[in-house]
Amino acid sequence: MYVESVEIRNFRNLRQLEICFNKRYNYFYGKNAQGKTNIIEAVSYLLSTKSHRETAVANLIHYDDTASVVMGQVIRKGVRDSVSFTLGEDKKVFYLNRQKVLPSVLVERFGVVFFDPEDLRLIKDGPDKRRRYIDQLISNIHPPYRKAYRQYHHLLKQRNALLKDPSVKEYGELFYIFDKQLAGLTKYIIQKRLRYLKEIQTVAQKIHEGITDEKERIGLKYQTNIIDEYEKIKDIEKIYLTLLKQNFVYDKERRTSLLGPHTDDILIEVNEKSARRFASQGQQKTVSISLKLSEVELYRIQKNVQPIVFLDDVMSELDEKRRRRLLSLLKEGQVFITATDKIDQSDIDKDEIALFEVIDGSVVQMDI
Amino acid sequence: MYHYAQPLQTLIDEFSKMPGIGKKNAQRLAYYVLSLNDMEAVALAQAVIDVKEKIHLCPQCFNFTDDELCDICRADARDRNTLCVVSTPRDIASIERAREYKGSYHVLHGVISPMDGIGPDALKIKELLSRIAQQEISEVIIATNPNVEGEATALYLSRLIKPLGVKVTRLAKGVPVGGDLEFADEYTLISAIEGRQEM
Ligand SMILES: Nc1ncnc2c1ncn2[C@@H]1O[C@H](COP(=O)(O)OP(=O)(O)O)[C@@H](O)[C@H]1O
Ligand SMILES: [Mg+2]
Ligand SMILES: [Zn+2]
Repeated sequence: MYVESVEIRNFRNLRQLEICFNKRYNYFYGKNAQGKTNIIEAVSYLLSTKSHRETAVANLIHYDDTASVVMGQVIRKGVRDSVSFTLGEDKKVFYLNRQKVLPSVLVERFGVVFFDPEDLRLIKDGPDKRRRYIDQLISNIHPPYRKAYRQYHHLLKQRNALLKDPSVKEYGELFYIFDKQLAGLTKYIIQKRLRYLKEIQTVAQKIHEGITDEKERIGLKYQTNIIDEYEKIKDIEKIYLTLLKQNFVYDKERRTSLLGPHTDDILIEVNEKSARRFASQGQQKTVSISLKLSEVELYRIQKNVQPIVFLDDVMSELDEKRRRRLLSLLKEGQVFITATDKIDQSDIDKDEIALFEVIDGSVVQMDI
Repeated sequence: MYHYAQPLQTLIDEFSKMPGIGKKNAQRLAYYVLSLNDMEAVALAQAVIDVKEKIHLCPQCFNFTDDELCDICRADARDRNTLCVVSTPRDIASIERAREYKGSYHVLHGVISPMDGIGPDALKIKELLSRIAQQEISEVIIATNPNVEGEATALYLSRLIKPLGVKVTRLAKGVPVGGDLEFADEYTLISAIEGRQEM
């Protein structure tokens, strides 16, 4: 699967662009704040219907305009799809072969793995980053998870509204009717996270061995306060309901729900030791890359299509050795890269890369 | 910026308050009203006044009606031992369209939603309970939407009503067409099907 070309109108600082892409590597370079990220954001938005930077629709439209249009030609399993979206006021509308479609149709059809410098801090940063990693990965591969996850957070909002209500002083029916639903979704979410962590672990181990010369072992352990042994997962609904009731005073005091999949974490280990505590910065980055590449590999295995990979500003965070390794591991599929420096392309075949310089929202294709 | 004459602007503003009507559509509607002849315009205004003056809630089921009791509460042929609980009067219309159900209704006028400040007291729940106490109700079918608030409300009601010795069942609306289907397979459908049984 690859994007053959795009036409961009009024997307952020990109007034009007038409770009033909290479099937393999597309490398955008230029000074800061020229529009490099905006270009690959437009392309990934077209395929995944969302942005890696959390923004309102209005921020995606050029300041001086009221609407934006992005159109692309995508070749998937030998067949051409014409995909587009329009953004206006608060609305976004997606089209597939000129038919209006729900975002989920495109998400299901095209696979995208977006990689930015934040992802390199997967191990160093807080638990929310690791939850986001696993939740995004599962949602991509298994879209029903996204819906369950959204519903869970919606329930949580209702529950937190109850906790903030000063007239609700004890744990009663009103909590029960939301907690009962939360418990069902908690079981679903934790089961899925456990299952996919296991699959990531297997894939990540292989990839990691390819990156590191030393045979480091990667370990991924799910951490939750709800159960202490995973055999108890079948009873988790009951256990969680009891726990929510017991923990009510603390929740009420803090006016927020303190227990549940939204506070769980993943312990990442290297050679049976916490990578967060014991691994060097460089090691941590390498493990993060292995985990992110596992997302690409898992997608390919499970969906039988090679997802399109976006590397936004990741290269500059890596030393020469890791840069080469990363590129050599992306040995199939289309890859979009942004960087401030021109690439040292000695490893890449001339036919397999297109080079673009980005200057103030416009693009010039450069010779290799 | 271009300014509309004040009365036109007022009409545009009123239309844009309506659900699903944006600025452009509001303008289109306002110009349409302007193009009407006097009789048509008065008929439209009168319809708005009438709907507010003549429509009130049926004191028994809380559906909208322009009569003392609504059509369904008045009809002889309806089964009065079965109550279908819905959240809005519009739900009655969609269930009636299917022509399957022959029992009576009860409209809650909303669902429990703490983040919108809507608790059980804001709904016609007390009225439902006194109906169950006074009339011979043998079965209550709860037909709130299969979303978070609809499920919460259904659960709340079933836990109130079941102890009264009344059979409570859950009628989930059909699964919406489109992207929701797959998730429905895994999660909603399971609860919808389970929910069809007694609660
Ligand atoms: N809605 C918008 N309209 C116009 N310009 C925008 C909009 N959003 C962001 N920009 C501009 O885009 C530029 C940043 O582009 P970006 O692609 O992030 O830069 P980089 O080349 O460093 O990746 C900034 O100059 C910013 O002002
Ligand atoms: Mg950038
Ligand atoms: Zn009535």
